[in-house]
Amino acid sequence: MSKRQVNQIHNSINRIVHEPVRLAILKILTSAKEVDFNFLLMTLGVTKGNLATHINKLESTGLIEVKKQFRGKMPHTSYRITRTGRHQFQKYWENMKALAPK
Amino acid sequence: MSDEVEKRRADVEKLDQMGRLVEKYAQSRSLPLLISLAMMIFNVVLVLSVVKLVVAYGMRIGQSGVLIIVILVFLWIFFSSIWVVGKLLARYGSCFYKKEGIIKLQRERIPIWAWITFVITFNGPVFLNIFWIMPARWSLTISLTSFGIFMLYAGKKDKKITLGFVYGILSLAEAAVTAMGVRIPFVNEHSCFMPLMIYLVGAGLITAVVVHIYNRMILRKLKKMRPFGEQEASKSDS
Repeated sequence: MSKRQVNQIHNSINRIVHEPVRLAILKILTSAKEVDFNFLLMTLGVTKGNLATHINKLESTGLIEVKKQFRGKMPHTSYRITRTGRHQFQKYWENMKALAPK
Repeated sequence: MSDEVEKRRADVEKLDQMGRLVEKYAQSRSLPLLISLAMMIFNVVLVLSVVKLVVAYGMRIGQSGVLIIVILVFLWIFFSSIWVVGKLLARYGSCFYKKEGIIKLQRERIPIWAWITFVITFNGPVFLNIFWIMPARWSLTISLTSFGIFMLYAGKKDKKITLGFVYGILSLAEAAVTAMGVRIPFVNEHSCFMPLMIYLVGAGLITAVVVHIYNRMILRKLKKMRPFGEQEASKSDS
């Protein structure tokens, strides 16, 4: 692959997806239909504040959707990946494969 | 730049592995199965009590009357238990894993023809046995085979692959053993209901325990793989 092509791919990489924690969140959400905050916290091992910040970023860019509801009297928040999010994640993954083939 | 890309590629592959573990973990949560088994035991006790009562007062309504009532009660409890267990699992099934968090997988609906085939092939031999048409050995074999195949199919559709696989294989093994003529406990020639329930509940309990152990192993791997270090979430390790 030429240097120009590498630069093109590198420039086209979505910076929102590129961040490691957000990438991990998207990966989990592509494997599942829906997960809640505790599951992401348990799987990723980040702090609550850090996770909340990244989730807000992903939500504000339309890559994930947040569902808030009450279970009994307790609030419960769960997350799903949107179609855009899935598309962006797949595109990112393909770019990575193209940049560093096995 | 290539170093950075290479590193990121390695990260992405690690995440890919994590994604597979997440799926396996979600597919092997087996505690809700215990609710089903508890409901099943409750229903069996209920059915047996009703049968005893009907038989005790059967002289007044005649033999065919007794049979009709027993069949109707059995069918009512069978279908209502499927509905109640389904509702309970949908509502409270994930509560067992509250500390670890809730994860739902994309499931496919089990088609109605599969349910109908299962209900007929599972219950049919039991009734044929009750009416003295089929010996207990073959009635058990067919019902267990039907249950085993349905578990394998439903596990795949409902994304409970590990549970469905273990339960299905155990049931099919029980069916094979029964067909080979191994002596069946708790049974006489015209009563296969009790051993069927004992087999299914027994296989279910073994499945729940085995799959739960597998689930804990996957969870441990998942926690070892944590891409961003150990944080307060590790408190939920149970």
